[in-house]
Amino acid sequence: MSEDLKPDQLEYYKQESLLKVDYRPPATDWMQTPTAMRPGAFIYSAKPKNIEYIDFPNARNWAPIDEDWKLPTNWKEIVIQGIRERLDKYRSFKVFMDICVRCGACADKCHFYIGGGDPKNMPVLRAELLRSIYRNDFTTAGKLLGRMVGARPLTIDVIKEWFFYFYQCTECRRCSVFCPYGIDTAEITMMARELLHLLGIGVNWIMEPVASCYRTGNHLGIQPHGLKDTLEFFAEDIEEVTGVKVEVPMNKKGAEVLFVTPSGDFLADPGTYTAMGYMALFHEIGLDYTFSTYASEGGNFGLFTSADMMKRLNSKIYAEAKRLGVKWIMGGECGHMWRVLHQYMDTMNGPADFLEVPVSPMTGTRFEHARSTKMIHIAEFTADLIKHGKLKLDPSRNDCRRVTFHDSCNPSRAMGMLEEPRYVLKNVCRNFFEMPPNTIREQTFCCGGGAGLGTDENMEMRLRGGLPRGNAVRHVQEKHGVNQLAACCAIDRATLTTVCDFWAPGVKVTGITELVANALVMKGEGDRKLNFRKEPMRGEEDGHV
Amino acid sequence: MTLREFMVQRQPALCERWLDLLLADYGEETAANWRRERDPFANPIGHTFTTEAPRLVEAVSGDGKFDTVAAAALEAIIKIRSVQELAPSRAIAFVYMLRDVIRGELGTELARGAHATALATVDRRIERLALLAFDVYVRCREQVFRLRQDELKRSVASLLRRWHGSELPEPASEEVVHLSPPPNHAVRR
Repeated sequence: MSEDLKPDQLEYYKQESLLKVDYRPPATDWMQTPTAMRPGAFIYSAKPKNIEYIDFPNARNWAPIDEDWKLPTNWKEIVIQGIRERLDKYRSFKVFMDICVRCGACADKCHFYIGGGDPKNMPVLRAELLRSIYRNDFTTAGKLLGRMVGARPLTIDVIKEWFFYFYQCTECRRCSVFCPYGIDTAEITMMARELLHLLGIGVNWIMEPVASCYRTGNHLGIQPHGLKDTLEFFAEDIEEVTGVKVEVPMNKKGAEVLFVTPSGDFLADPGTYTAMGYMALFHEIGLDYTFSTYASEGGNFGLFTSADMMKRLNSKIYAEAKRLGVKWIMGGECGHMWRVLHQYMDTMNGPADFLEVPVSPMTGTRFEHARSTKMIHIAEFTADLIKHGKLKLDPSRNDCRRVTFHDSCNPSRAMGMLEEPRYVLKNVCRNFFEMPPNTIREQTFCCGGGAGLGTDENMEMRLRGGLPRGNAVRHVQEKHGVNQLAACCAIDRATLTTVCDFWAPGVKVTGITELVANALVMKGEGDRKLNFRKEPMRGEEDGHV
Repeated sequence: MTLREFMVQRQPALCERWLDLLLADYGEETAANWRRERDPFANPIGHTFTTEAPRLVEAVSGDGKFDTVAAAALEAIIKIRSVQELAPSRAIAFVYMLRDVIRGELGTELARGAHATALATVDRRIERLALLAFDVYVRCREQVFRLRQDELKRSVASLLRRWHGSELPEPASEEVVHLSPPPNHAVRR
């Protein structure tokens, strides 16, 4: 290029030289690509007091951006021994370590990869972060041939990489749907997190709820009198908008049903309105039920910590059912709670032979599928009520709401509950629209905040992860004028509100039972002008169409 | 032919070159994935980039009307890039790269100072687009922080309501839901 030419002169630019510029970042093998702890993408570390409370090892102050994570001196030995124990204990872990042929079917199915593009968020590669260590220390080929067969030695950088990426997995299991071998990536993430806990590495947004739940019975640490106050306050609000006074049964011995829901519903909007919906519905049908201050948490952040911790937290539900002498248990609208209850509770803390197979006292329906766990989901219960004509509903009250349904990962993929919520929604509102088929049901996209990722310091990461879901919501918003997203999960109600504000502004999030309660014509109700949000019920007054 | 006619005729090639540069930020494998998959729900980013790029090329080659379509197209791309761990400069650099793309693709047509005046006009439009990109990027980032605050408030909403009664302040995002500036707020030179 001529020296005397300047960039503002056209001749300065030559086609040949422009074409030579390579904008691509240098391609490095994934093992050689170091992990940079970027604010917005990691979650703050667990405080020592929360680690100590549950007797986990190596409690200390540390931060992900620190150079020195203050690991115990024999950290490597601890991790290798931890892998060995888990390979012996869990057949599935060993199979998942061995069986992957790296076909790549899962690669572009993860919401974090779709929204961010970081190759280490491809489920296959995220699993490889752990698998490479397994190969190195537990397989002959790995010991002999090392990197040639995808093995690498365990270093402190590997530990940091695990922390970074296994807390960018929401254990939603969408990738598993596409895996020809059925590898459950969530279980690989669970194993990696268990190994990190052996070194005292965890995140506070999980460990604080775990410690709180262990101490007071719920993740938010609401104490018994606080919970009673909260529910009485809800009852006042219900009376204000419906004119009907509902009861607040607490720790009621001999009640027929113990009702357990995530504590997020007691404190966080818009879950609070769903909680009011439960209370209004149960009052209307005259259900003999009770809340418990001891088993006051349906969710179980132990699931995101370790199998043992999950078992410890879950044990409260059966213990309380036994103490109160109820016949069976009903669960509220939560997501991961249902993976625990549906797939693990029975073997962890069962058999609950002191309970009866759930039978709806209103319809006589016997919920055979819950014969063993003795616990059913409120959407199943409500769908059955509607099917038998036990509810007087006026769906026109929801006419200003154009509703779509987000299948929460665990109720859909872990529990197979696909039809019941839809049946309920279609009976309580007249404008229902599905999102595209590859974004719902078994293929549903995660909210980006599950498995203990729903805090705010990693907001950028969550918004990237929420992009595929937000994109589908935006589509039905533009196509059908959808303004309400219904979800039967407390984490969804908290995090999808944010996801929608960013990717599909104008779409509000609601629980299913909130919409049921809107449409529910209650005996003795007054002229219902307001919903539980104290907004005009039919939306006319604010011009909402 | 005028420069505009060349740009219209060669728009697909211009967009292809531009996409190459844009996708280069994400590494070879991801770039290939995002180019390959055509389903807008399986691949929202690839779909957004390929849909919006022609609208922006059209905007800079067009008849001077710098309308809301261009602003919306820019916003769609930048909103994604604003939460992808890219430095601010890198997140909006693709706008400037369009100048190189045009010169690379239309090198022969622009040789020896041909269409110099028209090219200067296109450059000015690209600069305006870059200024607009800066606004959009900052608004997106501000919204990220506002969303963090809103979420915190919602997480303790039932407590706040008990303290404040019905005077509970609404989350800020209730008011700020549309990022696109109204047309009369578009950047003026």
